[in-house]
Amino acid sequence: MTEIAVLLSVGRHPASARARRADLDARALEVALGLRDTGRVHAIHVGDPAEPALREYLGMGIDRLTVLPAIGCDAAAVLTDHLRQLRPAVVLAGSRAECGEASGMLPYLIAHALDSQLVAGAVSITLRGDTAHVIQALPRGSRRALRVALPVTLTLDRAGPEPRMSAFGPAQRGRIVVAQADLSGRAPAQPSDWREQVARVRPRRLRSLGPASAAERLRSILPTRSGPSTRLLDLDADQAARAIWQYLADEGLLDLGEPGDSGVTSPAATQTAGHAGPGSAQ
Amino acid sequence: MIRRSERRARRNAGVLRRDPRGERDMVAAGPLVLAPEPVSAADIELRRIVIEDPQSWVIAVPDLDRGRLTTLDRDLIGAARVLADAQGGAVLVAVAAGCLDDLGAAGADRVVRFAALATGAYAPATLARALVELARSHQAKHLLLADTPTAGGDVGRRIAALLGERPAAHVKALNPGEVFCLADGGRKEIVRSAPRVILVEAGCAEPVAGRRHEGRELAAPELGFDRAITDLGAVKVDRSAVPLVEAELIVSAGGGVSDWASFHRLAAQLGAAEGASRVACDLGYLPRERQVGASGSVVEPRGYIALGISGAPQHLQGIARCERVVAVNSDRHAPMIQRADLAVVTDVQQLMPALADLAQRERRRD
Repeated sequence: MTEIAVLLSVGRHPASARARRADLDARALEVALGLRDTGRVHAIHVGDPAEPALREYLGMGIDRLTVLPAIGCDAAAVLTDHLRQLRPAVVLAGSRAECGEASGMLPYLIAHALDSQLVAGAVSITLRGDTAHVIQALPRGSRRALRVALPVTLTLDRAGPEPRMSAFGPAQRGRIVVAQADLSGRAPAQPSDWREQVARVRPRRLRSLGPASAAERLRSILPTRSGPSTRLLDLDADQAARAIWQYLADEGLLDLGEPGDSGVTSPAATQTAGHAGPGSAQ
Repeated sequence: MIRRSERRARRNAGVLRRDPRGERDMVAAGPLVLAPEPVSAADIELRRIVIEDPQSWVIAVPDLDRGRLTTLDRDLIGAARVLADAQGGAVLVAVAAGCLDDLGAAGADRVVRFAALATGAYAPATLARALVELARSHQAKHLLLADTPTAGGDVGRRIAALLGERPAAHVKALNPGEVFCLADGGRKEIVRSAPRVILVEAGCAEPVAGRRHEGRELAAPELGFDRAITDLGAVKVDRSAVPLVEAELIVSAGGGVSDWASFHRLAAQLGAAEGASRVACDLGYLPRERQVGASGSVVEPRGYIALGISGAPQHLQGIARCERVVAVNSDRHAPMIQRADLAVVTDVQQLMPALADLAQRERRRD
């Protein structure tokens, strides 16, 4: 049986600042729950076992959550010791914590210590023997497929699957198991020469100024526009379509995406079919 | 006294600096005339800076987007300059081969081009090892990367893990003494002295302007690829279902659209994400998450096609940073028509099927 470890942290709601399940970690757990047929899922948290927000993860459908009781010291070292014994084939984690330093280093340190491959921004994973097929999210909605040798560490960001809701019953029934953690000689979480302050809102640059030419600077404060705009009047539909197609082709806007299959309605179309327009509502 | 012909010859040879006052447009009483041709960076004589024997090195690694420096990349090199200039150092820009921009003008004293990394190739572990080696051979004080999830941020964290050091991540501002890292979900800043690995966010420093650094090419080390990860290439995604904030091409519908079947077909044929104005969302034709504008999503795709959208100020705010806007409307005085780069005044209902058919024919021919 393949071992799958999910690293879960306690998040904080951006508006109310209440403790909650961390959004990205919940996405990681969602991916792990999809692997339950092929492996055993171990949910692991480093911190306070009494934290009530941890039950929100249990409510997603896992029956136990292992907590390594280490507060105020380096979580990566504690986790590494634990994972060395577990030897998971897949480690899943959110790409960034919601509180604390949130440097996003933890998965990298663990992958380095366990000598495992790491894929950032993963969306889904399928296990095939001793390799994994991973889909990675790239900017602007693109996706890339990778074949990775196990063991592998995946980090999840906002492109990951939407986490399921947490159910109250399973959340109360689930068990929080406190594991042994060796804390002797661990480094503190934050060096003493770091200073913390309330985040300042810094002025945003409206638009970067290019080379030091007055004409260039003047152009840069005018509305964004490549050249003089073209206005086409009194065209019939075919001529207008031809003109727009030509423009899109010239600007290189057509090679961005794969066209949809004309025989199949797009998911957006099927999605909106349920939306009653004003005509059908009456 | 130099003769005029000689002056012109020397000016053409680049010996003599041009007198900027000689280049005024002599339009006596007419309106302000802008130069019709864009002034490229090469036309302007920038102050040249050559650092022959630097005391220290700062390595900057831009992400590149289709071979071009992004805004964040320019900020990144600007930040590297801040750190290098404070200690009499030089900026070494390490970049994938195929970078089209002038890196000297962007602020690079030296350039290393990794030929094996064609733009977009997936080899973060290889690149991280190569950069660690580069930093070691130059004894670089700092390594700066853009904190983007699957590019610079990924490579930078691998470097930090290899070096066993704690990087400064999500750096919003920096000066030679200290860096300001956004932490605690954006509520706090950690202020610390600049570590070796620095991952910067947009706006961390001003981009280099008004001067040109040498940009001397250095020999790139060979990269040894490992076989543990195989790139299987891009996956076909349904572009019309891509979230608006991620999309590169958006077809957006407003109150002027009534033939919704054609609209969906057109979006699918163009491979574009579907957007809508507030009017169309209010009427329930598209879900609320598809709304573009100040109260919906603020989008910045490369192309935006507005069909039957008159262009309320809130909607125009939402597309303020679009590069190319095509507007189709039957009202030639609509604000959207004024905003567009290509404005077509025609009936939207007839245009949509015509354009979808044309797209289908053209795609099939390819």
